[in-house]
Amino acid sequence: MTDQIVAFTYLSIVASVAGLATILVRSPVHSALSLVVVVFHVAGMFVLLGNGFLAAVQVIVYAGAIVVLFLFTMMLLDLRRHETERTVHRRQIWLAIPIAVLLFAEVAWIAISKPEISENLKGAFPPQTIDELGGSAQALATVMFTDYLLPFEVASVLLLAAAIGAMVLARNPDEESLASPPDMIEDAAGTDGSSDQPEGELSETPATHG
Amino acid sequence: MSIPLNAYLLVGAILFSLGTLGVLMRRSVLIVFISIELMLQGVNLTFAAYGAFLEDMAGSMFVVISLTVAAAEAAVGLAILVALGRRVTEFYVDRLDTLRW
Amino acid sequence: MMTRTELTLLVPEIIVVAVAAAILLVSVVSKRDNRWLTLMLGIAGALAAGAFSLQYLDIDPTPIFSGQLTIDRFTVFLRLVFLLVAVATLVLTVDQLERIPFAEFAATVLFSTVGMMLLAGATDLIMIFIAVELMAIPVYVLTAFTRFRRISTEAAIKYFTLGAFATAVLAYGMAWTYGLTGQTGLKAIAESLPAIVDAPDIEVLLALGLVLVGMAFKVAVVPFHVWSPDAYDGAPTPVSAFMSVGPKIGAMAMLVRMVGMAFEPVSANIQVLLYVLAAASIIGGNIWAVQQTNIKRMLAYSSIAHSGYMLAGIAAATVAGTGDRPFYTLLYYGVAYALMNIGAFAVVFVMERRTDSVEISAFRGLAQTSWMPAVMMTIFMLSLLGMPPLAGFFGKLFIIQALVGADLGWLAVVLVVGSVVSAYYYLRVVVYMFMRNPEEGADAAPFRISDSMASVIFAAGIGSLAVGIFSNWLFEIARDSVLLASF
Repeated sequence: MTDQIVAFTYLSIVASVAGLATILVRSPVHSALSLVVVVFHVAGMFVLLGNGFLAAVQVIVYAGAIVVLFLFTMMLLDLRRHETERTVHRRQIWLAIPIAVLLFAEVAWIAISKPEISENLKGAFPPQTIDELGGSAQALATVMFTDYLLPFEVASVLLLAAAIGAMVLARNPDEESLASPPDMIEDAAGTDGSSDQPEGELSETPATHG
Repeated sequence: MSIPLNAYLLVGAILFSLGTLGVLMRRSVLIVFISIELMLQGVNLTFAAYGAFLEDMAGSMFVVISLTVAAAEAAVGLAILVALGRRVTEFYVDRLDTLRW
Repeated sequence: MMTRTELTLLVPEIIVVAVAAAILLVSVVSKRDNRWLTLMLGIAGALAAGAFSLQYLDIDPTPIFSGQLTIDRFTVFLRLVFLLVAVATLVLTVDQLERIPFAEFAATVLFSTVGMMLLAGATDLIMIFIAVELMAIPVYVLTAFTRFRRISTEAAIKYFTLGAFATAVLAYGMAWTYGLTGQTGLKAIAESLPAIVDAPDIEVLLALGLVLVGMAFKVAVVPFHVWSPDAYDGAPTPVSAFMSVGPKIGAMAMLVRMVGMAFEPVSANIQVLLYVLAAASIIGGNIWAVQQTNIKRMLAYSSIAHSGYMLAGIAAATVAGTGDRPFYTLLYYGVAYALMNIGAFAVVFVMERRTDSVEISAFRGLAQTSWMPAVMMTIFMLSLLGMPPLAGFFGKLFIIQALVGADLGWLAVVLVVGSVVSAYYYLRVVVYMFMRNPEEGADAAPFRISDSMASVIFAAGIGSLAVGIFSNWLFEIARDSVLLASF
């Protein structure tokens, strides 16, 4: 019992501090790395909750895919030249802090005063059933492929849509499959952006076609 | 499970509120995106904790779906940023001022 | 467990996904962007999906996939509206915006449409969440589709940031709802809420409040609207038309399901919130719209005001004892709003292609150079304003009737006053077209509008008239849709 309490105390403190670091550090790279720390410690809490499968998925998807995507984008965009600038909105911060504090006070108060879950709300998966099924992955599979089959299938459509969208947007314009005349509605605002366009550093993006 | 539900909910609330603060406060678009991921961490923890204490699998299912959505959002959001990056190298929220807010 | 009947009821969505995939495959195989073929595929798919949906117009509410979706007439009705919106967007774009890859554009529009269609029937928190995202994420992509224009990508960033933020808030609200009831199905939530509603009242409010705030962002009501004028302004105009109608009605449908099914036992708790949001959107949207000189931003604020009108209709339905729960005002209003708003954006698109400007002043003297778009724009503006016998008038009339029936006279007064204010900015466009001379140096020669654009504008114009003239007929269908639905 006490080892669980020690583990939880460690996980929660590190997750909170890393969360604070995520939003306070200057550089986006450090912010993304702090997020990885949060992700690992939240995964640890999933283990404490008896859900090892979610912990694994969390680490693989977040640390393995999403944060890597962030870091990759940061390298593409070369952000170093702005590291000396102001990092927060001067005006907005006076709105942001009260909103966040109020939100936290309300949710924290409800979270602390939340009574124990009453027996009649409980579902069909007590720990011993999960053990009988062979673990959290098997238990999740029994609902994922029965009750929640449709959301699971729709998730695949969502990923397809996102993949197509990302490919269209991030494709290198020089290697566009369509060589057509400039569009009529190309706006004047485009010219002010092109003057400080980075040279060459983006041209290595492979032009993939959907 | 000797840790009470309230403790998990509290950590979830901390992560969600910190994420909200980050979204509202930071100027860098990338850090705003990362803060949204932090909010989703709070959501996931809340769902997983409720799922475990309710002895129900729907909580885990929501976490899986939420991970999928987070991945799809990250892909699209960063692709938009790359598309913008071909024109400008500034990634501050208040410098995106071609359009009036 | 999945049965054959369940799959049969899901055929429309399956068709649309299949067509989107087919469009992508064809563009890869043929190695060029054959726009008309893509359009034909899209239209054929939409027709087939629509025909399949229509077969089940008189279906009894049928929960399928363990209650993830409920197919009832409400679902069928909205599916048809969304398919119509998707087709209009594709037709409007097919011979314009030459620099974008049309196959990917069409597929993205169709993916978003599937999300809306699923959202119309979703009756489980998990399903609602994934359907909202499938609706929203492709629209972020569409906003940035003309990525060679800076305002397009910039608008997409703003839309994406606030949209993703709203998603996180919505998910957190769902987490608390789940924790409160131990259920994800909307029906089951409604059944278990009364047992716990007395004790932790503040917890109910937190769950509901977070869900409502998340959805308020998605439908763009004051004060959660800041993204929408920028997003409409920066997006390519056909996309502005699409996102001002589709995601808005989709999110409204989700709100109806949530308020009408899940939170029905506690709807008294949220009434005040709904009134305030509705009134604030009507007042704010109309006042800000008056100040705009850019017509896309004006239409954005006008659509915020229209969100307020629709929200007022939903608010009326939460009042106890309003008889057959007047959610049907929303269905009728949704159709009317879709027709007139798509039409208005289509005319704006024509003007944008011609004069390279989206300022209202570009409409000066339009009636002298080409009367057709001028007349059509007049129909759309008057319909948005609410002139009989056009669609918009009856939409507002039905909402006012519902409000009065629910003893919400003051909200009806706000609605009427808001409409009077809106006369200023809608009629200003009409005055510019008919009573001003063209700007000096403007190209005075009449110009040819491409057939596809003209057909969208004509269809929307005739639709706005017909939906107004045959309002009773459509109103009956909308009312039956709600009566036959499962809430």
